[in-house]
Amino acid sequence: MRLKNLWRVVSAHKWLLLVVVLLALVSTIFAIVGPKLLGNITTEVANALIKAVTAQSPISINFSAIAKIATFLLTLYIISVAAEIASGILMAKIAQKLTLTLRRQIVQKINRLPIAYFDRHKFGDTLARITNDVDTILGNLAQAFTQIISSIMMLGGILVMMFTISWQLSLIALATVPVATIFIGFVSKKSQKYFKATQNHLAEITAEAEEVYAGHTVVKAFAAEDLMTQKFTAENHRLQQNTFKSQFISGLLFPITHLIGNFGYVFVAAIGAGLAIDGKINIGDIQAFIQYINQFNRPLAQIGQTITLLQSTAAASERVFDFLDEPDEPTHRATAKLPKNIRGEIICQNLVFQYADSDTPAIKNLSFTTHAGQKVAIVGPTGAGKTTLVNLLMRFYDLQSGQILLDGTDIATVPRAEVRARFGMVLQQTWLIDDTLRENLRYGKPHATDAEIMTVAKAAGIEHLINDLPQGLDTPIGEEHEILSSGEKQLITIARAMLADAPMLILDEATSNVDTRTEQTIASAMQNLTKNRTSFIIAHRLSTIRGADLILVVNNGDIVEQGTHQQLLKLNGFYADLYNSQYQSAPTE
Amino acid sequence: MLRYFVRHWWRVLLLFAGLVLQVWSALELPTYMAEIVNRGIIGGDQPIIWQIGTQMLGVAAIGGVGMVLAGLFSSQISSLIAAQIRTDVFRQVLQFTTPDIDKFSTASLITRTTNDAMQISQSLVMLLRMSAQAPIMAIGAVFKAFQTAPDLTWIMALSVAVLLCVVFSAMFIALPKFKAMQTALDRLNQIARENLTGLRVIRAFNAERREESRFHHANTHFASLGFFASAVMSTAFPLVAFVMNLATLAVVWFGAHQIAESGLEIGNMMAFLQYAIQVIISFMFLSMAFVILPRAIVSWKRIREVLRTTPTKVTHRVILPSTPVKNLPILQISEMSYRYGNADENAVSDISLELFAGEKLAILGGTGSGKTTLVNLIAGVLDACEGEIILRGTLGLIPQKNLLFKGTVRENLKLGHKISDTELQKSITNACAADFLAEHGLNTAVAQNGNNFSGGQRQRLCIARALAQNPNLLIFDDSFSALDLKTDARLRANLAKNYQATAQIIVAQRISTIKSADQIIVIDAGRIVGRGTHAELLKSNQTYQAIAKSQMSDAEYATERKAVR
Repeated sequence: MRLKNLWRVVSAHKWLLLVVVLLALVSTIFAIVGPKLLGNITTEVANALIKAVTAQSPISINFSAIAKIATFLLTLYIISVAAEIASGILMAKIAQKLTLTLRRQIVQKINRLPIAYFDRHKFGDTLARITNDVDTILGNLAQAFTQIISSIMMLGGILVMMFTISWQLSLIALATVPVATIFIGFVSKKSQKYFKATQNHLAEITAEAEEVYAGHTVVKAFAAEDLMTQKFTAENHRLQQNTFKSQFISGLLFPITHLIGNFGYVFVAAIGAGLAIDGKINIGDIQAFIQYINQFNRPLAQIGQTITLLQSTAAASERVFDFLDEPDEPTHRATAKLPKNIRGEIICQNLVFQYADSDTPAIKNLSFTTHAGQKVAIVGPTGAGKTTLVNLLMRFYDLQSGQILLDGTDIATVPRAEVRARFGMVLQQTWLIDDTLRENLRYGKPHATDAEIMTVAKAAGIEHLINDLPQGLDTPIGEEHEILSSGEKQLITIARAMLADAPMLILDEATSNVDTRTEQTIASAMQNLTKNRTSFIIAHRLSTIRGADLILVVNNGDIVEQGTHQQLLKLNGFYADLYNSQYQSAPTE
Repeated sequence: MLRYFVRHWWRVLLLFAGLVLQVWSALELPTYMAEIVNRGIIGGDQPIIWQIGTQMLGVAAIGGVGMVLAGLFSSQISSLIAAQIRTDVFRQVLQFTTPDIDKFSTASLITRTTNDAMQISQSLVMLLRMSAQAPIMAIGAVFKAFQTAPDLTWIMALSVAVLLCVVFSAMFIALPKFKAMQTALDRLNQIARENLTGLRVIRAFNAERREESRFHHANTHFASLGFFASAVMSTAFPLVAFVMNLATLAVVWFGAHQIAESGLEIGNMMAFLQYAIQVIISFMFLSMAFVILPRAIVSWKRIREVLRTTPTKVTHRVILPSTPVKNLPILQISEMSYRYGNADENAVSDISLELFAGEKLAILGGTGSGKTTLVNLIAGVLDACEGEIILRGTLGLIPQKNLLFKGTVRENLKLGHKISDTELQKSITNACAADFLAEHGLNTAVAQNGNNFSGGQRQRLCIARALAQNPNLLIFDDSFSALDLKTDARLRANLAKNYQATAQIIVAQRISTIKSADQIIVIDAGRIVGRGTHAELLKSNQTYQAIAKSQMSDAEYATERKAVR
């Protein structure tokens, strides 16, 4: 059980928790004493009544005694409610703090994990840990924690109270417990079977829906809607039958326990009455006793519930802490510093790199040299290793062997952030944050002024766009606001990189999936962007890289040819083939 | 939602009857208890205690029957309604065109069909069983209380009024916070998702700290809303219990006075106490509804969103019955254009073509040139923005992805249409699929997504499926890729021999696949840039020449050119 890990986080608030426990104890004890005291009033009245009946005299009730008990009871109730509210609010506060801590830790962890982690894990899975799992843990924890304490207290307290009133009645009441337990066991076992079947049928119908929704083209083209509906309905019927059975059978629990409870109630009333006639028990005590039996089943059920809660908490916290315990991106060896102004000369020597889940290296013994300010194009078929090369330059992954020298310094000896700060990056994926246009544009330079932003916007060809937007730079953009086309988003990412003003640039497929008209705007924006900067450009449309100073032709993880466009065409080799077969090679990477 | 209940009106009535029985029994028991106290204890009559006790057992048993009835019908109603919702959503999605589906995403439609419907079912059963009982209990208990001790009824009325105030003000304060929490949670998710999708960009810009603080803001906002809402709730629930305690105290206090002054019987007072507790407990159940409801409402809204989306009608495509007249084209497309939702440019523009019985048309173009869009338009999963498609007869589509459905081979080939086994067998033979189906034939099981077959086998089954429909037009959307050369040749021979009257469209990237077509259309950026036979195009069309050159060695290309000259 990973509850130990959870305790590590929770124990930061152990004193607050202690207060919560104490408050819960106070309110529970008072809640238990209540019925007994109330019963005392009834007894007082009944005794007066019986005295009156037997003595044939008018009733005289001792109201001052009753008033005393009532006042005391009222005080108890008020303290009890105050304690309960206080403990509830405190627990909510603790839960709030824990949520904050856990979620913050997870998000910080995201930024510290090696990128490779996310090659192995789906985003949805990590997201589920941030939201669902944290919710499960804290929702349950707050509930389970107070419940288990008060339930146990309640159970013990009620038992004590019941036995102090009458051991005979208590035994009758307790006799119902094993009967109830047997029934509950039987019903749970039965319903468990149907719950399982329901889960299976739910998985079945999910698969069915998945298949049909994904194969929607085929269903439509062949007019197979009827068959699919028929199959779905049949499975749906089976699911409904099982849902019904599981719900009905588990729903029997309540009537059965209630019925047993009622039988107990009848026996207690009848036998209690008999005892009362013999004067062995007070009437008020019977009343109190009935209240106690009514309350007796609740903590029992709650403890059962809490155990299930704790099981799901353990599962959720295991997922959260597994994530938090993942090893961080290594930071050792990072002691050197890059000079403030770099020229941007990159030398790659015998690079070797292999992805963790792959059998063959993605980069094999790759070497090349670029000079400061050069425009370097990297071309090659899908899977050749182009993007991997960029990932290595940015130190998203660590080399197995070889080194990358930036102005003569091995970048593996420099903190990652230092290296990354020297590169501006534009990717095919137009990632923008859900914030205003201004914040998006100055993402790489948070304190840029509007004037600086507009200068860059002009160079990137989005000045018009900004002026056309109703709120200008204050316009919120992001996933939900579908006001920008993909071409416009791409231009924004270019402007963003321009504003960051890094000495080197990486453009990874920055113009694919953009229409030709926008591509021209982007091309000229990039012309501005690459001026005087060492830049690496990956592009499928070879027309965009014809003007590069150096073209690296990559295939199977190595450089097979290098040179300018003209030189490479003359070679009439791999590049020439690639150039001529443009039409064939536009897969996405 | 209401119409779902109306359909099960008699079950609702029986559920109601069950609840009434249950309430009746719960309220009747304290009355008997009062009798025991009044006549048995105060009167000192032992036998009557047992007599009344036996009656009580009967009443309790009837209550049990009521509960079982309520349980039976609440679970029936809720599971049937959920099933109905699932079917409705499923049918609706089947009517959707591809853009309609994309609006929600397949994954989201699946959760709406399954999880959301399940959520509703689970909430409904709770609501019907517990919360629905509350009003009946309240009315009954007030009535009984009035009968037993009319002078104490005001205590009940007052405490119910106070309770209503507590519950509603809690809801009034907390519900908007719950809603705000949902929005805050969405925002939190949004930022977390951005953090994941933008991993590289964030690290490239060294913006980790900034992202953390952005998340922290959203996180704090969400947590403080959550704190407030749960603080309100943890105030409200003890207050309800407090009101209950005060009410019991009041009953005993004023009851004692009544006993002294106007001869109220003590058993009646004790019964009254029970009623008061019953009413308050049912209010607690009622307030549980407020916890369950919001989640159910969210699910229902998500489902309603699907049900209320009007499926895009395919209005630019007309299907006419097949015609024996030779000079009427089987497929006729005139000036058709299509543009995806918020794209900047058309995916296909100004497409016009005609295809007659027995003709073979090839469509050649690179990835992203608009070929598949064109096929989807013909298949009717997209509706053209402009122009018209006339299809005379039936269509057999062999999609790019080899989609098969779980079931048997027979089911997969028939797809619900009336086709005899002999015909199915014939199509299997023609699709070269007979060899691997030798053992179980048409009864061979197909696993989900056809995973028990190899890619090539799946492709042949898809071809057999299309052939089985005996179509007037066959469309091969890049569907020869998984076949080896020998099977490919056998298949072509079968098609040429046995499907002479069938028109064919072959969509491809490689020239070798389509050389023999009667007509080839070269498509680039959604437009037709060349039209003719292989020879004609090779002679005069630059795009076609460039493609040919890239797919052949220089020597091959030279021979080809020479051959057409």
